[in-house]
Amino acid sequence: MLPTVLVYGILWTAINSLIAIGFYLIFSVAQILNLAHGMIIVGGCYAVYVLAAMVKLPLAVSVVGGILSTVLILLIIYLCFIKRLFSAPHSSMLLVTAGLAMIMEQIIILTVGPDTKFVPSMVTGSSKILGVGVSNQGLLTVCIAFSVIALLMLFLKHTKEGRAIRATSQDRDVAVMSGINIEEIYWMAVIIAGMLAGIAGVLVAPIQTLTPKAGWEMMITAFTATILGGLGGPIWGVVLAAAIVAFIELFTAFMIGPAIKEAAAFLILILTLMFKPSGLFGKRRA
Amino acid sequence: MKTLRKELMPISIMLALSIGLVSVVPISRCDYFIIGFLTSACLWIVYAVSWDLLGGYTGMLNFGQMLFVGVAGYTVALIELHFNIPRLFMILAGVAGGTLSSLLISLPAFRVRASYFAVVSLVLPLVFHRVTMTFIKLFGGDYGLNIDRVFRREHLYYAAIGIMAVTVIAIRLVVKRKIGMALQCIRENEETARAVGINVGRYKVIACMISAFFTSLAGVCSFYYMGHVGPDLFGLEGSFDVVIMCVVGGTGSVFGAALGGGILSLVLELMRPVAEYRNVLYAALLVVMMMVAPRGVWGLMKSLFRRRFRNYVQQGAG
Repeated sequence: MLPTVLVYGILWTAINSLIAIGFYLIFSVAQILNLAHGMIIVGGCYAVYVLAAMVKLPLAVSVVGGILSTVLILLIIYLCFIKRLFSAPHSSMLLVTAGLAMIMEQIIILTVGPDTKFVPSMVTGSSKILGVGVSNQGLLTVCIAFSVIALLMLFLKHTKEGRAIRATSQDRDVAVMSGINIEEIYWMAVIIAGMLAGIAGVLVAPIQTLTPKAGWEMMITAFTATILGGLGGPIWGVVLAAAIVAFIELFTAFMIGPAIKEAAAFLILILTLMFKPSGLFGKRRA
Repeated sequence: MKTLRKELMPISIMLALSIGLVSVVPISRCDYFIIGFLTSACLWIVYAVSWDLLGGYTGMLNFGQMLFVGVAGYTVALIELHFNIPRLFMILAGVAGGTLSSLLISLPAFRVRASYFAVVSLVLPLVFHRVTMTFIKLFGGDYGLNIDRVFRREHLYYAAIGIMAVTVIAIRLVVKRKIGMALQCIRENEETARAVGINVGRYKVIACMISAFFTSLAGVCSFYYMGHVGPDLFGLEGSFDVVIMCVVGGTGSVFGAALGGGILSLVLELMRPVAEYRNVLYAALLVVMMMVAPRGVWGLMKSLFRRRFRNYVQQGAG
């Protein structure tokens, strides 16, 4: 059991991290709690499915299409809805993003159907690691996910724009006073988050069976990892938090039953909110 | 007593409405279709009004209002099936269960930002859904729990009317008193509320419990009416309907929420033939209302009335 948990834990850490970091970026930089983020990822999955299985485009084209579609959806949501709500009470933002998530879920159900779908893998075959069978798709996922995260960390650490993004996420007012163009930073955060969501969607689509409902669960995973990692904290904090969530979920799935693994994630969320609301590595008060 | 006297108008409106609703039974010769519709409308109004105490007045969005209904329903159902005690105690236990379940949301979330509360309230029903699906022997899995009819339908209809009237009046009393002011202060600015000496955490927990109390009261009534409780209550759709009712009617006002509950339960009934488009239309309605008229139908009516009235006064003065 232990090797299985280890191997699949790393796989789900990679996926959860990608899901969470996009959510985390918008949340900590622009203070937008985007309840539609999970559904945007699912939108990316379904875009790949529609392009690859229904329109019958080559898989590489569909993958690019999936990533572009999430960036586009997130930009539309940002420009048409979120931007106009910055001055409104915070509850409007939650209501609108939740409503948008609901609309997207229903559109998927109406157009593609509510039943589970399968997306073809990018690579075929499987390998054995520590005596545990893993599909090559899973290995590819881990490689791509961690290199994307590493690239993002380098970008945030060493470029001028990256430093501006980090500064904004730690203290917006001081960032504005130091001459950072907040508008530009928000744009950048939204586009990066859209790309991360797209990559997450494209990678998760062949591994998991697709249902429209999965968007809510992804949002919850992202939120739990973000809170546990801490707002304004480093990216690797979120990755570590995503790893904690992944491993605890897997252990519960093995010990009690797979249906109840979300309850474990919820327990982590509750304990964090009760005892350390600023998260493990957070630099900001919750 | 003074507040009570000030509230004479809403109380008399509710009384008149209740009498009107009760008289439907003899007029329609006990038509179960009409009674069923009106019962569910009354219960939706209760859910919407008690949601509004949290979402509208305190600024804590609850995306899992039906959780209280589900917990209350499952509690009563389990006691009905496994114990043989007087029914009054069963109802009390159900209401207590639903009310206490609100602590599961409010206790972890009351120390942190109001927006975190929304996510916690979104997650908890999902957990309950998984629990009911995991322990199938106890909770009946997908089929839920069913009991035989123990009350006559018209009696439950009267009960629903009573619960609705009591809820509307009680929540109006709550929001017009000191606690209501404190809750609105928390919504506007939590730091200020803390600075003027409001115990923010305690008020949030209390508001949550009041909201859950009335919702689970209605939930027990709904359980006896249908004779069934299932895991679909822990789905998002029902709770979203409650939120949308309040947003359409107008958040932050008891009558707005009640109006929204009334309107949308009628729409719900009319949209039976196109049921598959219901959710997407509802969600679109939520987004459109939030972008165009965040104060809802009631807010629009109020500002319209005020403008008329102001013109009238100005003309009179001139």
